[in-house]
Amino acid sequence: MKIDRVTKHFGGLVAVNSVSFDISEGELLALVGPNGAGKTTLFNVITGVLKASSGNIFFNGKEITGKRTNQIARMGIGRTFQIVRPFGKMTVLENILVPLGKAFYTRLSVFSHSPHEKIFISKAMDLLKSAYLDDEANKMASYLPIGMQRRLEIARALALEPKLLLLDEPAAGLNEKESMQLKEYIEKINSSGVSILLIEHDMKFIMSISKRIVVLDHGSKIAEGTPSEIASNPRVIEAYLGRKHKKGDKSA
Amino acid sequence: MDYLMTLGIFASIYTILAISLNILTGYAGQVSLGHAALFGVGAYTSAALTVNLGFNYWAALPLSILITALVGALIGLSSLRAHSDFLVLITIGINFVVVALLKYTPFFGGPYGLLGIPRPSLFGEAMNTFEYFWYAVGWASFTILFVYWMSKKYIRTAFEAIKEDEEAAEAMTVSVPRFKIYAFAISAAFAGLAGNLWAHYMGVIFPGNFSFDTSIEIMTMIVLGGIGTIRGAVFGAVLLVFLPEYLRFVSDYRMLIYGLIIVFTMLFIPSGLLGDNSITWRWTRIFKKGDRVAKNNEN
Repeated sequence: MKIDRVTKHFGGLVAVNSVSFDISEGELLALVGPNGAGKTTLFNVITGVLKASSGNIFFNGKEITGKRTNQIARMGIGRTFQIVRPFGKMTVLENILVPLGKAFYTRLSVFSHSPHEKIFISKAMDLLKSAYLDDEANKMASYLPIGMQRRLEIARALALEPKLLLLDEPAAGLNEKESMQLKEYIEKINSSGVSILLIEHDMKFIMSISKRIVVLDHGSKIAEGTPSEIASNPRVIEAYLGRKHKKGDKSA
Repeated sequence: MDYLMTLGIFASIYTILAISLNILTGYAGQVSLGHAALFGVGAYTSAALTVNLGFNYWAALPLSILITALVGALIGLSSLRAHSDFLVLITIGINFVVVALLKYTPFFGGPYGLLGIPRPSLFGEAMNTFEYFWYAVGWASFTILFVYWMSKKYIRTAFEAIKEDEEAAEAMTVSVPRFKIYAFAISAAFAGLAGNLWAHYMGVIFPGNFSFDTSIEIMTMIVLGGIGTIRGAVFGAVLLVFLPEYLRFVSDYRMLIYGLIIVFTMLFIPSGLLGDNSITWRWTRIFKKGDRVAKNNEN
């Protein structure tokens, strides 16, 4: 995917300011920056939830700027949300069955195919197994603890068979053990060939998982490089790490 | 006997109405308090086609369903801009507008309504009440079977997804506008069918038949029976058609009682008498084998 000088402003506020970067196939790229840096806004622009004020986004050589969210998802970009959004009143299994119907939602076969067909159920169970959620398949999604809901969201996005997965702060609010489980899961997904763009605040998590990092501050890209380059970049330290370190708050 | 047959016809028509509102509100989460408008569009289309334009009943039937579905789809367009509580207000407004249009349009008979709407004929003879009863029951059964069948398909999954979370549904490739319009159109098609059955049984229709009160009546049925389930819609419709006939005080204070039913159901049994998670429904399941929790989650 290629992001080319994307700008998004809300009235006078510039939330994303001419940001450009690429993600190559199979890469795991982290997007970091202090609160309000424009990371989630950029996610929403990529997925078509918000319209870019200017700039272009290409995916697999095709322009996706201005397309509708469901079309972008169908082209192979899966996402999760900063505040988890599973379909709360569906079971865990049913949550996965929703994206498995993607071939039908644009056709009249939406009337003839059933989510209860064996192939869908077994596909969904496989996805749940790889997310360590197969034991919870028949539970209502909203009853799950937050760590499981996050993995459910990722599994649900994976059911689209995406080429690129956008993860918005998947480790937020997780304890050490859940966070380790999540890291393992993300690495497993990445090694299966899915590119990942990851927003994260937890620097320990980021440093251990990504090979390349893009830093945003006040909507602009201020740095790009390997974890060690980023950690020693003075602009980054000033904008992000430095300030946080002084407060003694590494995780915020 | 004719009286019982008439009640049976009303129960069938209201069953169709309740199920059709359930598609829109129970499945797709689009709350409408103007469903009677679509009921009226179906009734008036069929009546105008047969009385004013001389169409045969069997030609007017599919046309009235189709035209009501189109009107439903148009109303559905408004749901693309307005969400939940705003949509409720819009649908109420549409109900009043439709009734007013019928009242002030001479083509539709104005406040005096349309008279002399023919009964459908079978083998050259107009149906009597007994035959019409089975005709209406037949359509109600068809509606139940069709919607049951539909509820097992991916269309239902798409509806549930947009009801739960529109943004997440879009991210899962479910087009929210498309399925909102589907829900409005399918729901309207059945409301149109109910309107057709009503008009050709009564023989005369007035704008007042399709007022906001009727919308509340339909909503009360699905709320009482259990939103989101076919059995709830059928139960609510049949109960609220027969109850006022046997308990006179209910019919004297009809709107008061409907209002109270809505208030108390929402406060104490929000999933209705036969909803998936209602105490009453789970109680009936105690006597059945199998995992109740899994069953409850399934539908």
